[in-house]
Amino acid sequence: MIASKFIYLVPNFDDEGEWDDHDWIEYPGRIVAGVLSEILQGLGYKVEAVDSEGPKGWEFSFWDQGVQLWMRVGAIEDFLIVLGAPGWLDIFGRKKKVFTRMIERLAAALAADARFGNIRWYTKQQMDAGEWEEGSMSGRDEPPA
Amino acid sequence: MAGFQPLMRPLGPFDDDDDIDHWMAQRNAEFAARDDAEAAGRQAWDQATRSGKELDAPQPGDLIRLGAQAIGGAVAAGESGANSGSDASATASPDADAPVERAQPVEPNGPLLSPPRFGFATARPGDSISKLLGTSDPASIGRFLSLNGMGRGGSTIYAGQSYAIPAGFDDVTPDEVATGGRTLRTDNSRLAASRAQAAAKQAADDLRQQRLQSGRNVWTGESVKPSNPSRETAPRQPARVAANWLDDSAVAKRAVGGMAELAGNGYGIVRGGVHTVQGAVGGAQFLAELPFSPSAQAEAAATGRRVGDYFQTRAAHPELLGDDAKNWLHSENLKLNPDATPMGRTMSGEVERRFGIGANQGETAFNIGSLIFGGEVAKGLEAAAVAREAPAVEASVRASHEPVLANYMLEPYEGMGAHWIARSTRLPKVLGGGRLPSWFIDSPFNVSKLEGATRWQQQKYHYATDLGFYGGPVRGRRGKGSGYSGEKLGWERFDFPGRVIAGMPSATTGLVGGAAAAALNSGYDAFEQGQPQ
Repeated sequence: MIASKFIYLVPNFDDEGEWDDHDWIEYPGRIVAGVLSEILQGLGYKVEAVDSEGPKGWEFSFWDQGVQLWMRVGAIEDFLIVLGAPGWLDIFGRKKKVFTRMIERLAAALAADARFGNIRWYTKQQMDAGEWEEGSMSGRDEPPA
Repeated sequence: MAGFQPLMRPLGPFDDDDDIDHWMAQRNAEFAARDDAEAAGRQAWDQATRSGKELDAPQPGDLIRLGAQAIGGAVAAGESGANSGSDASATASPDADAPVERAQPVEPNGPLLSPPRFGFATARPGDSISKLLGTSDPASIGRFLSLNGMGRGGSTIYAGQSYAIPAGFDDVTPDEVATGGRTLRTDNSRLAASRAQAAAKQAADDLRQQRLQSGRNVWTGESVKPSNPSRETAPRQPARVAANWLDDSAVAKRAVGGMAELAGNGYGIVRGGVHTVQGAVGGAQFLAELPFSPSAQAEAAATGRRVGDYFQTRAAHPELLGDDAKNWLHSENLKLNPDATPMGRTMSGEVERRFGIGANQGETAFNIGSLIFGGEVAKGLEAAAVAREAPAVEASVRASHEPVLANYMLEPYEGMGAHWIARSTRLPKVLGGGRLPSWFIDSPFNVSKLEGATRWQQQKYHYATDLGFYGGPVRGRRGKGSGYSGEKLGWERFDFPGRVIAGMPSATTGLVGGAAAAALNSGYDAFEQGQPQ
């Protein structure tokens, strides 16, 4: 990943997945991913269909100015949203610029959207350090730099 | 006789048989003259000792010289009418071709002032300096060498030659002691090496003999021919008649050859496995020796040069690649196809041919089987490991987690598995930038789904090998503290090489392992082609 950011949020609607008394038929997160996909489309991004990644959650790619961006919605406790700009090369920093712009626009949209609450943003370092875990209050209600 | 000729004279080229005959006759005459000269020399020495005359003959060759001079003098005296056997004859000046020039009388007249400090002995086959002296004392050996002029020229004792044997050693010089010690050490080392070499040769001869008697290849120890007890035990005459009849029957040879080929198949499969192990061991040994062994380094460099040369020539002449492929196909056809080579002239020849082809087929089947079934083998091993750790995992999870989470995590895992290459991976833009095809991305070669694993085992493995996996939901629970996270459960992530290797699905591991096995087997075969069979 060229860049990544993490959001922890709580939706005010149900997204419990489906269970057949034996195993998951559908993991939680598809509805949340669908709503986020709509928000991004409303912001002008070209969005592809949401796809299941099993216990990891639901994911989809979207594009801005030809740059691929990516989102995954996982149901861990509340919902964990992972945002990234896939790839290894960004010689002129274009991907990072597009990604940063998307984060700013999405943060504004989520803050204004009544369907989501308790929104906390984390960096990858915070995630890797386990600072997003239960009881942690280190997350910010706006995207970190 | 005109005079004693040196025994070791330069030999000229022989133009014809007459020259050789002439040379042989001359050599024989020289040997006869040498014996006569030595006997005469001894006689002259004894006479001088008895009469008290002092002669200088410190080396055995000098004794021969004395004798030769005595004979020559007698001949000369006889020819000139002078008295034979005089002292003058023994002390005559050496002729120009004399190999030893020290046989000069010191005191032609007068008494012998001191008794001689040495005697003479003629060496017999198997004699050594120590045997002649009766001791291995360095001082004695040093004096012997000095007395016989052998210090620098070597210490070899020639049977039939006379040697001066020192009688006293009280005046041995330090140099002689040092020379004696050095020679003793050198000879002992040489003898030890010679004995070891002889023992190794004997062992190798015994092994070859043993292999020969058991009908195996004397160099490799492999059974190259099926045994034919009936031929060994049947009476000679009927067997020859039967063999002739069978040798002439193409139908019989085809039928028996087919059975031999079948037997060769089984042998070839086993041989493939053995060669794989031998290739792995040999390769490991070579790699281990590489930093320290100049010969291994030279071999590696030579191999590198050969590979480099091959690619260089093929890059310059791509048309040769077609020839290479054609040659390879041709050789494989000869190796594997019984119809590609003519039927053996005799029954035993046909059996041998078909058995060899069968063995080649078996080995090729082993290589293909390694590729196909390597994944199954790896998966079996993986499943065994999962089952082995299951009881301990269950005990640990139940002891450390609340029942709802423990029950959920200890249920059998039935999900999609962990992807080695992530499903979100896109093709490069030049290839369209789309998703990787599902036949690959969701195939067993890209997905690890541990056979028989619980959710705990599968997800813990998934967490370790996938940095994008943080945790998951628990059935029927939502909200804070409801799901599970790997971090919270104390799971650990592998480092990059660990993620690449441990994250590799067993089917791929088996394929890579199988390919490696086939490569090792082929590598062994290629190497062995240069060895005696």
